[in-house]
Amino acid sequence: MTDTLTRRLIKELKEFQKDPAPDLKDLAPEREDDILVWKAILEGEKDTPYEGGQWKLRINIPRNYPMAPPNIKFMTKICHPNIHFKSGEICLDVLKSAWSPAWTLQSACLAIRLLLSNPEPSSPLNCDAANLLRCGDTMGYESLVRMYTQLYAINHAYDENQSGGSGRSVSS
Amino acid sequence: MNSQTFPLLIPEDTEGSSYLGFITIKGLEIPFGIHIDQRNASNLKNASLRGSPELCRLVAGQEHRLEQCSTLEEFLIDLKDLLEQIVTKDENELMCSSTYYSTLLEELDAIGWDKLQSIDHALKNISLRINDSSGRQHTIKVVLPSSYPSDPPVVHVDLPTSISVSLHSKSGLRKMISLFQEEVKQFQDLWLLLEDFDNHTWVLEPDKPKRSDLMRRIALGNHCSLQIDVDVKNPRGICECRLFGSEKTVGPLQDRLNKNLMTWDQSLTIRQNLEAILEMKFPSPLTTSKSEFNVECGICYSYRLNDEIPSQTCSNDKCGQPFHRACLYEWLRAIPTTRQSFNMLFGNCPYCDDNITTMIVEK
Repeated sequence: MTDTLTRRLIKELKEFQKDPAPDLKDLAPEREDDILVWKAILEGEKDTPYEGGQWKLRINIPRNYPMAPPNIKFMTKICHPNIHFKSGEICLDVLKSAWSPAWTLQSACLAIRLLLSNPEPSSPLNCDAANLLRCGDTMGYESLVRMYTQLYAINHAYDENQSGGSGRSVSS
Repeated sequence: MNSQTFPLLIPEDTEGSSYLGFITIKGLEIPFGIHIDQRNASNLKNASLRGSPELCRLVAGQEHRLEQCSTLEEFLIDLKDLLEQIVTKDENELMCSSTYYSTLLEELDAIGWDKLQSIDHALKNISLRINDSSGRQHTIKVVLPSSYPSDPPVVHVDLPTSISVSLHSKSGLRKMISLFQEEVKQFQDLWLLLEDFDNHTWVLEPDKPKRSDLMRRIALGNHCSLQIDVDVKNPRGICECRLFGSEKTVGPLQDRLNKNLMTWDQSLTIRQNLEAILEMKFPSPLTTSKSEFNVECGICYSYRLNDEIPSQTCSNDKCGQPFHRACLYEWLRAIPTTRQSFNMLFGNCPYCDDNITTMIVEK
């Protein structure tokens, strides 16, 4: 199985390099000697509070991929109802029950990007952000998101320390 | 330098970079010299070994092993070890009698040296290149036993039928070649028909058709493929055809096949016949590229998986995604909504969510 897994991942990498999605800045294995850990850099969509931000994702690929979904986490802090503020965990059906081998790492990353502009406050991982939306305080929600985007995702090198929240700490 | 272990070694110069001496292998004293590159004293990487042609022949191809030694003493122990191993091996590989070589040379003279494609060091494995009347190249591999010519050689040829016994007889290489050429004549028409396929259609299987392959699986487009098996005795006759693909696309083709099969014309090639019967032009390397057939499995993204090609296709004609049977089974069996009945699994296509069935794969 390992061999077929490697072949599929190499094909996915080539596919991305040949025809990269415009909103995905980077998608590649993190290190040359381990094809099971990838990183991706996601850009915030225009005309959303995420505009201008860049988030680093870490993708851990299970041995039985593509039968099982990849494990994707935000390494850069992000404020979103369905993304855990501290751990970066993502609540998205295609990464869990709705996964199928027809998805690729690239399409999964794009699904995450779509989630940014289409939050699902009824199944939150970040209650504070979700509550603002559920109360209908769109303006408050958007300014909160904009603040965190400014704070963590703009003009930062994607260093790992960010996710640990070293240096500045912001109470949410 | 421990002179006790190798008393037959003397320094050649004052710096200690060159030594001359003898090494004793099985009671045989072989003269040799060694020169060490002083610049990197830590290992013997650039050291050079001089010696009799006999020594050079024995060590040929093994130099890398000696380069790994760090001291001269270690090197000499290794060298001695290596030479002893090689000499023992040499003793086992006895030289053949002189008749073996003289017969072989005579025979090669007779058949012409231009036919000799390759021969190994021991002069045991020979491959001969033969051109037939249509200019096709054939390779005959001959393995000669040490007792040749009293024992017959073992001959490997690439022909659709197993070759007649006479090729293995003691008749000599020249007789063997003329028999082979005789044998090859009867396949000319067959190869012409098969080459017509290889040149004008996308052959999916076999990967690299050999002269002995009578089967071809060709791409028809729309995730469809056609497999033919040619009858070696009657290559121009009606051949066995099997269509693969989703029911929607294969159905009409199968109907045409059943309806028009009687119009088969023996004067046309198989490809022309099939194109007329299926009322279509086969996609060819001249008009299409292989990637257009999208024949890769939708799960593992490869075409060949343990020699299996994607044979299951989604029956939704908008989807038609092909899968390896093993991949699809692996996916469906992990899904809780998949139903099983006897040895069939009923689930949903990973791409379009339409119903899809597959047979359970025995591991």
